[in-house]
Amino acid sequence: MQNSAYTIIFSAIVGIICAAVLVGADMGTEKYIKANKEAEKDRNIMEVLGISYPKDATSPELVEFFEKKLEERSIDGLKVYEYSEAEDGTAIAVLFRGSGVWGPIKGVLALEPDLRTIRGIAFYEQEETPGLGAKIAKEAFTSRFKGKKIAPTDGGRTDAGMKITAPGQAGGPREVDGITGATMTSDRVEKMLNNVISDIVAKVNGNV
Amino acid sequence: MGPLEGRGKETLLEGLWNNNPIAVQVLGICPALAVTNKLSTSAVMAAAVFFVMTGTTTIVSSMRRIIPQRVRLITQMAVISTLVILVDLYLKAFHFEISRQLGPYVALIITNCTILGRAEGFGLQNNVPLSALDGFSNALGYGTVLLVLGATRELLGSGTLLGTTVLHESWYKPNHLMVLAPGAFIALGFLVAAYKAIKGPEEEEEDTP
Amino acid sequence: MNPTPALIIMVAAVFTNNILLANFLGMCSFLACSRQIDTAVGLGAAVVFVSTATVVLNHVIYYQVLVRWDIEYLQYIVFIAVIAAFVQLVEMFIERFSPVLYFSLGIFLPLITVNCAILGSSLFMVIREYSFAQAAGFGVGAGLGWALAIILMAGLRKKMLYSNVPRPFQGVPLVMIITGVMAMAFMGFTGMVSIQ
Repeated sequence: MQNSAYTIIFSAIVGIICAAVLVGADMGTEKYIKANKEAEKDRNIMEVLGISYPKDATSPELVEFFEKKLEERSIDGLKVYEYSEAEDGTAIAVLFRGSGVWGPIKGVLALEPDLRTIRGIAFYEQEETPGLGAKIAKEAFTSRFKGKKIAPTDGGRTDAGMKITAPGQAGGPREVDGITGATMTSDRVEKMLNNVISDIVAKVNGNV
Repeated sequence: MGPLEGRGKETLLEGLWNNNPIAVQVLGICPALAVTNKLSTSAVMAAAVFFVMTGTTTIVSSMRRIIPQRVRLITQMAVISTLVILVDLYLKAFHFEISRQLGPYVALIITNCTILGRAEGFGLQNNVPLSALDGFSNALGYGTVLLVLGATRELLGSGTLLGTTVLHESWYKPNHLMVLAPGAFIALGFLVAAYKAIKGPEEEEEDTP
Repeated sequence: MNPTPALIIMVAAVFTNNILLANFLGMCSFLACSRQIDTAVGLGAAVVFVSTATVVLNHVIYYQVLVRWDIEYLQYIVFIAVIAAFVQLVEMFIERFSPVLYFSLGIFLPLITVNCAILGSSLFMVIREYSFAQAAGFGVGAGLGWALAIILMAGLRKKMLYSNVPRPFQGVPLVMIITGVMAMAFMGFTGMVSIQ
């Protein structure tokens, strides 16, 4: 049993069996996992747009529901999700991502049919400090954005963008209160928001 | 004597109480602390560990006569890793939400010292039925601690149990610390102290603290 | 690309996101080896070394091999294999060049392989999508943070050697409670990393 050849053959066989089992498992679960990830993304988008969906639908059912309600369009490289059953026109949602302080931040931004007022926003993935930066994911923060504007309403495009101010200092319709003690996270969020905003303002206007 | 060689009951009790993996052997604590802020995640983690532990001791024991000495440890790690990846893929496919909440801690079952310890210490020396039983009872003991810890932390930390409010906000202000890291350590400390108090003094006391 | 400098990530990994006190990783060896300060220092140094090297190695392997060939789900096995191999190398190295250290570390050296903090560091590196430099900083910081925790605990346990501890609390329970208080203290560092 101390034979070297035996050791090598044994290890090889164990290796092959493990690899085979894993590849098999991966192939078997791949489509479920993909459907789950797709459904999660769809759920995030629908929640931000305020669309009600069946809570106990399976992932494939949810994806189907999503594809019926929303239309996905690619405008100049920017992926936009259009919801045409909003009260006064077509609301849109755009996924965005950027670098937080400790890891990537991913979120969804939803705009009213006027393409200037925020319908909703959510940060569904972040690695910020719990109790501080991580508060961006909570409703207390995201609700501050509802109804705010992403750009001047007189049609101006060149100075689109929002500001995240120190808590309590938000003034106009394009300013939002930040989170106490999470200045760095708030800065990063502001930056990534303005990135996606300038993208939207440049590409989506008049194309919907 | 039968396949259990008459040691069935003893083996069962060992893992569950006398030699409880967390309270006595002090192994595999990391995931116990990380996911026990809610009862639901504790239960899923306990189930995952159960599957991997019982599977590992059974498989290792069935191979015990043919594993070459030099690759003993690597073989055990390979078995454990494969089982863990299977669990991870299963959760991602059929219980996506929970898999998200457990994060990297399912993968960390691989380094769970309890599983490796039982495979090495017991599985390699005993026959399959006994090893399976040993894995089973250790997993049960481990799982019980996880569940108790999870229930305690969720109850005291958020006032809820499995998501439904038990201690209402009107008279109980949740102790948020319980849901965070320090609370986990302290809760486990008191839990093990309670266990030791109930169990009584052991024959040989190690010099403390 | 995350613009947080590698140095900040390293400092954070030691204090505000301490891999043991905030992420619960590396408890087993922590509990077993925190009685003597010498052992704690020796083990801590070894962990820093292994942590840095494996996070960096795994970063390269993950992004150059696993991602390219679409086999990310094998990351757990690959990471642990890299860690095991590296620890084996370190063991052989120490045995050759410092038999004294080798003897005093004893069984604890191979135990670093199953130290969840090491595997955990690699896993976090993937989740947080660190660049190469950031991964290096994180590896160093995670190891240092762990070493810091275990050395502090060893010092505290030495001080308490003659305290009158109630029987049920002796050993593990007391160490757990102390760790909890340390974790609380480290939470106070959270605001430390400031803007540049």
